[in-house]
Amino acid sequence: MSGNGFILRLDMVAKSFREPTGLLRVLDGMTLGVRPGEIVLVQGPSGSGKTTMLQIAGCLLRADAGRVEIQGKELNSARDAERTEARQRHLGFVFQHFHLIEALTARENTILGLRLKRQPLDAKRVDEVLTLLGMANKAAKLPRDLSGGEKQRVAFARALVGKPGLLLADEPTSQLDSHAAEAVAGQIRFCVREYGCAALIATHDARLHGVADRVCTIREGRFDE
Amino acid sequence: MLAKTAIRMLLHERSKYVGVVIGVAMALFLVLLQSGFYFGFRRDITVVGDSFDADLWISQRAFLAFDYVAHFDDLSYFQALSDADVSYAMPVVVEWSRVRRLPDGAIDDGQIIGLDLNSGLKVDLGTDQKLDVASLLAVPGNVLVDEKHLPRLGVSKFGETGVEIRGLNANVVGVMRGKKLFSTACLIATDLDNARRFLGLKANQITFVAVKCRHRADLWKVRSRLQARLPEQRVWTAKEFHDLTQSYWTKLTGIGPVLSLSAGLAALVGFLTVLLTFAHLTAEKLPVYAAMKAMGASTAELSGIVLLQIAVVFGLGCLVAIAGVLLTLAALASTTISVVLTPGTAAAGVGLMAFCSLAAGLRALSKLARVEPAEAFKT
Repeated sequence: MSGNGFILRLDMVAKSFREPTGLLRVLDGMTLGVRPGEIVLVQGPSGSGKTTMLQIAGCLLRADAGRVEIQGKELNSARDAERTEARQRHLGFVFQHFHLIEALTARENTILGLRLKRQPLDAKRVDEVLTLLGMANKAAKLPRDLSGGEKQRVAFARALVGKPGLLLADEPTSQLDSHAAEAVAGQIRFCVREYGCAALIATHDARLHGVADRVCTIREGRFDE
Repeated sequence: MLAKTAIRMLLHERSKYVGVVIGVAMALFLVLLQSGFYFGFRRDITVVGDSFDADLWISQRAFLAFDYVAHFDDLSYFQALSDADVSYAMPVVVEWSRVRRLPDGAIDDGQIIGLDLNSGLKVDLGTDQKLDVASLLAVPGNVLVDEKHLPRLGVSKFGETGVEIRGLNANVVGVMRGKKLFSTACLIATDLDNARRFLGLKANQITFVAVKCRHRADLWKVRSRLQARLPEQRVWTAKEFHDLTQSYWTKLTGIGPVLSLSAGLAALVGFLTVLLTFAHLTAEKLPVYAAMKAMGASTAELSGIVLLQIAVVFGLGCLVAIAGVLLTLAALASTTISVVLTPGTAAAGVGLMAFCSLAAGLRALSKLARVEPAEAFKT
């Protein structure tokens, strides 16, 4: 962890996109810090910049201005290789549409998460994560044989198996019914506690407020905590 | 893990990839077969001339191809033989003739070739090693025929009158293997005197002289000397003689461009099948690939997945194509259709299709290279 105690720090981050109608300023001097073990929810209307903020925080997109620090290291201006390495070492991703590989079982998708992080296969760890997420008995199933909630749990297992310092999740409950969304909310809290990682979650879903340590709302490209 | 992922993805959507396997297989099958037909045709064009262990050939002065001949005096044969650097010379008679098959009187075409098998110059007639061909063909009326034409000539037994050439009975006493002409005519080989008798030529008339030079003799010098001595004839090196006939027929029939075009179109079909399928399936999975990139996969690793899938599909296509070609070759073996497919030609065909498949995969690879990991959060 860095000296300031943040696992993620966004400092005066700005991002604009060129649109046919002109320059669209999505983030305008956004500042945010996330500490280990903290669950931060980011909410805002569609098009407010939640996903852009996650992309920048995940070193998937470069900000036009500002600093992006992960574990105290500035990465916005770093080389691509350094940014990839930071993603492999410190970050776990959960996507809105899961993006599981349909040809691989739940267990194999989880193992792939380890492989892409350049970590050796740790079967015990894989089984442990799947068990914690209640997927041990469905580890051999293909995604097509799983419900939306189960797919989401596999996506969490894939993100958590590499022991990331920060979990970045985009609308993790948008594809789920009420029951499944509540289960996922509980699991996020459980996993964060169990693994000691932080979570930054972009969502519209008020059902997740209960698990959050902080809820930030994006307004006009800035946070209104 | 990535190799396993690539194979599992392939198997998971096998119904989509079966089309590519069939496309590659059909393309390679056609490329190999068209090449085989082309090289078979080329071989058959010069199969007779190439059977002689000759260094030089003497023909009529104005000469288009082996199959269009005029006869000349055998003085040129003796003049060739008198050269100090000539070891052997063989007078040869060649002429087309109608052949009547005896069972039903039907008329067929034949190319009669008369040889002096005691000249010392070697000729490979594709006959049984144990057969004393020179003695056998010295008997009036005895002939050898191309093995593949035997059923068509209606010959069921050797040694008996089998066919009639210009009203004279010919006894088929054996067969020649691998001596099928490029046309539908049957090659009929016999002794020089027999050939002259069948063709109604005079006793001193010949069509060619095949010449074998002494070891280490300068062929070009011998050729020049003979040419100077034989102003009414034309002296060729064996390669010139071979190339002249081959290029005459390949150009005249246009078979080279026709078969090359067919093979090219087949390769294009294979190329397009791989290109469209892999580009489509890769585009379909771009969000997943973007997610893998976001999680740490490199473009090279993702490209490796697609390349391995192309390699597997190509390999399966090759196996199907080669099995198809082998079955076709077996089916054609007893027919008069010639297919010459050497390991080199097969390797070139497989290499061409491998190149096409790889080139076709470039579109999918460029999609992978361009996909931004950030896309995973949008789609």
